[in-house]
Amino acid sequence: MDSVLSREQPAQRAPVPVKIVVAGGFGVGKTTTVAAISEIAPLTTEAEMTSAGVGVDEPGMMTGKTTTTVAMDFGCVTVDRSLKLYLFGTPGQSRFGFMWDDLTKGALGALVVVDSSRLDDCFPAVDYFEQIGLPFVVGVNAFHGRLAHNLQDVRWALAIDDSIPVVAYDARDRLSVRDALLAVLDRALAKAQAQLSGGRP
Amino acid sequence: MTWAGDEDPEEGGSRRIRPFLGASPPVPVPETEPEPGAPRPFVLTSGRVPVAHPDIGLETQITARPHGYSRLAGLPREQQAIVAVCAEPISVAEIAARLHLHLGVTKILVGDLRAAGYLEVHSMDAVQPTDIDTILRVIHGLRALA
Repeated sequence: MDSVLSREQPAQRAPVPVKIVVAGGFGVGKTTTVAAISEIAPLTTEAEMTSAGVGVDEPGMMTGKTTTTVAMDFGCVTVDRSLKLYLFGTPGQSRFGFMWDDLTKGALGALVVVDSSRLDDCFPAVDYFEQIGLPFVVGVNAFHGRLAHNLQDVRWALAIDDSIPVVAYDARDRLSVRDALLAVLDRALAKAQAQLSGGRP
Repeated sequence: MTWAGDEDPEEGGSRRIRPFLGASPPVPVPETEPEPGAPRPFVLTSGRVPVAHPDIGLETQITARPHGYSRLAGLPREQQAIVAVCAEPISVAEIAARLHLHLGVTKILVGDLRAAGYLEVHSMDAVQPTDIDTILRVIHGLRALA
């Protein structure tokens, strides 16, 4: 495409965007979480993803690849005039290759939403965030204030480091979601301060 | 739906296989059926692959350059629509969602429109996620929510 416009024009200002990832398995309440606090009704963006085909590679033959469309729900919160916080829910499928790199690149942190009756669903997310060193918090989505397990049991079952908060919250409640996100931001702050002082994050 | 092409998007850039992908067999995922009559997503980009621009991320803010509005007529319909929604600052993900375009397609078209001078991509405004002042601003902003 040929350039048709002069570049000598003043640029319109835009807010600085930051993001927090809301992760977890199918049906745990990621979209509910985003919807509870987002200024806009959650939008859905779809992405094409290439995944390796099932089967055995044979020498000289192309690996079967299939493309899948994954959907991510997201919302945003205006922090102030020049700063917007985006909340991106991860696709429900737990194997998603490089899409997670795009999702998490430059993120402040992540909230891993857990349904206490289906803890294993969050393992891929917990593993991934630990590997890339992204600050995260486990949020147990408690329905009507009741948990299937208490938080200590959840912590033990997930085998995560003691430094990672496990909090109960209600994904339908705006202020409860806000508090869970504040827990994520506390972790992000701790890491940033540790890096500033030269310590291990 | 298989995707045929010379380029493998997973080979582009510095992508590595996530360790846990090798740990267990791939889970079959449901395929979505394309809407009848709708163009396949990468037809819009002449088959180009979204290995794309590392500085065009999901949340990257895009604005339309004012002088572009008088020159929209020559653009394909999807690209005119993109410029139109960028009248106010908007993220790449929002562009894709509102116009029902796939994310990869959107990134490519935004990159094209930037190169042609229709859009401003505010990638240099992105902060480091470890920027303490920014984290504190977000914390204070969320605490102020009623």
